[in-house]
Amino acid sequence: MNFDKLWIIIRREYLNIVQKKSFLLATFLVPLGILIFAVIEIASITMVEKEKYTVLLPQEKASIFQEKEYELTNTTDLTFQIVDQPLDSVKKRVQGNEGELWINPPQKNQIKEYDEGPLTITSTKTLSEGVKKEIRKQIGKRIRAFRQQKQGISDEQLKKLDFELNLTTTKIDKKTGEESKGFKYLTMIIGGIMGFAIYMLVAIYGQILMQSVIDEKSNRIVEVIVSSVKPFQLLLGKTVALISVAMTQMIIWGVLSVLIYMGVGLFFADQFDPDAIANAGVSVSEVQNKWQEVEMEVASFNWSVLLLMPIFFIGGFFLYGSLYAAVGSAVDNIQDAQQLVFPISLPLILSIFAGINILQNPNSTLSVVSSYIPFFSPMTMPVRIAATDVPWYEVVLSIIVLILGFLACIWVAAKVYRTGILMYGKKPKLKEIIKWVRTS
Amino acid sequence: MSNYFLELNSVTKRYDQHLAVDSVSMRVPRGRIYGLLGPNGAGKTTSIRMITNITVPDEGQIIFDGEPLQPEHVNRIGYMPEERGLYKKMKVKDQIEYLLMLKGLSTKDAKAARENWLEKLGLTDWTNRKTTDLSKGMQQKVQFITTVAHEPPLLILDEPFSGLDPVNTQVVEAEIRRLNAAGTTIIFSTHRMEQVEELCDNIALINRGKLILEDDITSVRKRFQKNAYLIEFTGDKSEISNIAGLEVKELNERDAMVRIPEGEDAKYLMRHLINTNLEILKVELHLPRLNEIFIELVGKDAPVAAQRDQ
Repeated sequence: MNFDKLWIIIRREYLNIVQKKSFLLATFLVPLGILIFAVIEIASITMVEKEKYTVLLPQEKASIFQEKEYELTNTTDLTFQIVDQPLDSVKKRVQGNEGELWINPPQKNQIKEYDEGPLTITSTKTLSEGVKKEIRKQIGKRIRAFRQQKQGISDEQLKKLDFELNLTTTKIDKKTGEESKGFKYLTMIIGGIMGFAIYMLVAIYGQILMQSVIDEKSNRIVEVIVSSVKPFQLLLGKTVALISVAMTQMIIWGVLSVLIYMGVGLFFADQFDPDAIANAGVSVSEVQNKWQEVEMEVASFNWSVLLLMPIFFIGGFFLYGSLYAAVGSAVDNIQDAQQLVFPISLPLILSIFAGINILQNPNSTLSVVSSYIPFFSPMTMPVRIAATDVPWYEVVLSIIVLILGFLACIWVAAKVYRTGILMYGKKPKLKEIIKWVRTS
Repeated sequence: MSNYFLELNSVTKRYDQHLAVDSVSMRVPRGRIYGLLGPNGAGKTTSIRMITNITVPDEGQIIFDGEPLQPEHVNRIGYMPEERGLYKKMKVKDQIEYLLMLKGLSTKDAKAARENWLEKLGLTDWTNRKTTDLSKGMQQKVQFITTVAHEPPLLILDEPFSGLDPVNTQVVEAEIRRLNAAGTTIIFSTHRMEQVEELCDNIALINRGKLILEDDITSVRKRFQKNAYLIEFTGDKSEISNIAGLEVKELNERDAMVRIPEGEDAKYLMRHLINTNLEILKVELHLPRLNEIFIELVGKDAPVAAQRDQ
């Protein structure tokens, strides 16, 4: 094998794609799109609905809130004001002023008698969740304080009553009795994303490889090239180049995601206060609990799983890519390829359904068996590793079987390829292609 | 050093049940232009693909410059296939550089050869353009550069003039002659017999996978001359038809094509012509055109192939 020429081919094929506009767009616009989406999402929680209101509390309905101790406190958006006007004129006033609203909180007797009470807010405009929450929160806090005081409970005593329940689930292994943390949300998400990402990369780059083989054939350049290099070198060069392109894209996306994550974090650091979260309609402690859970998982997550992703992608791409290239070499145009490509696309798509199933039942027979079948393992093994504990030797075995699998596929594909690229005219049948493998 | 740059010894190639090349032996003399002829599907392309290492013979041997053909020899061959093309969206300069580097040239040498040849063929202004921006003739010239610029000792040109206008045909033809004069052995395959007559020193004719003729071009034409003579005259043309033993192939007012009996020569014709009242302006041995030989040898399916215009 002439490695100088192989290198020349890899370099051309790599640069040819990397310099294309479509590659640059996909590589930089996709993360940018995600960034914009994230910014809008966060901004919609924290930044919008900044309307300011004056909250009127009619004297006759003022209840406990006119007492100094239980006074409502103004915020940047809401100004509370007790007005010494009859209810009717307050209603008229609110009717005529968009920036004002009036509230009717529970009265003293209602607070005493019941453990629930009415609160009505009247305004001309539809109020945001944030405004409603804030008013509700302030009133609720005062009522609680009022009742605490009435019952003669000190703050200390009250604190003693508070109890936080931290829920964790533990899974015990059927055979070994080993215990492990139960539902690993993060790991499951990462496993799912990895499996799906490998599927997408293999499918998309496989199609790109097939198209490129068809182009070379229909441009009639291929015979010129194979008079300088062996068809196998050309095939290998193109495959390795596309793997490199995919890895480049992954690295850029990885770096950009980290940058975006950090950038978003910095930008919204001051916005991310509990008030903002509360305004969004989520309780602060809920968010904090979830966050702690995530942080614990991040700490305990086996990040080396991510290193397996390139290995399974490369294996999967050698396997599927060589077959896509073989189909491309057998036809003259992309339309003719559709029918022949079906037997290749089918296991690829099935692997995604298997992957979803494995996320739910990581220890099922399907999960174990599919992680040893080279047509499925590039997608399903990463999911399985993320979703459950897989002994290292099983991972190694799966990789070895995958390598043997793709070597076999390349062997078959190379035979089809070197016959196919020089065949023009009618679209060959699958039977004829099998004959090429046998006779060449 | 052998007189033959390339030798095929009983080379056979089968596809499925079909014998594409059937025990063909050819000798391509060093430094000559060798015409490889034959109707479509005769086995020319298969033979060329074996010479260029694209496929391997099932039987027989190919000797390249005195050595059995090896993969490394591809760097010393320039091949312009009939089914040829370029990367459409690649710049002219990158394209030439890439294809030359695949022939083993260093980046530096590839660039130098490229500049030299682009200038030679008047394409310097187009180096930064994409192939699709070029006319068909210009693309053809770029293709020619990618074939010859690494200066291989063996050139294989399959229909090199197709797509070229008369002016560019002349430019490329001049370059082919110049390369040949500098010692390059050239295998030239075409259906255009007048180009073969003009350029080739030797020809080989392949039909149905078999080599049916291989010789230098003058010998071939002599071999197929068949005692035909061209006579130019003034006078009564019926006198020609009255000459005994003469087979008149063609009779016009001022000239005639005749065949004399087997075993006789020009003197036989002269003797009879003296006895007529005709004024003889010219008597000439008629050597058949290659086209006629081609058609005679390959039969009915040949005329279509021979006249196929690129």
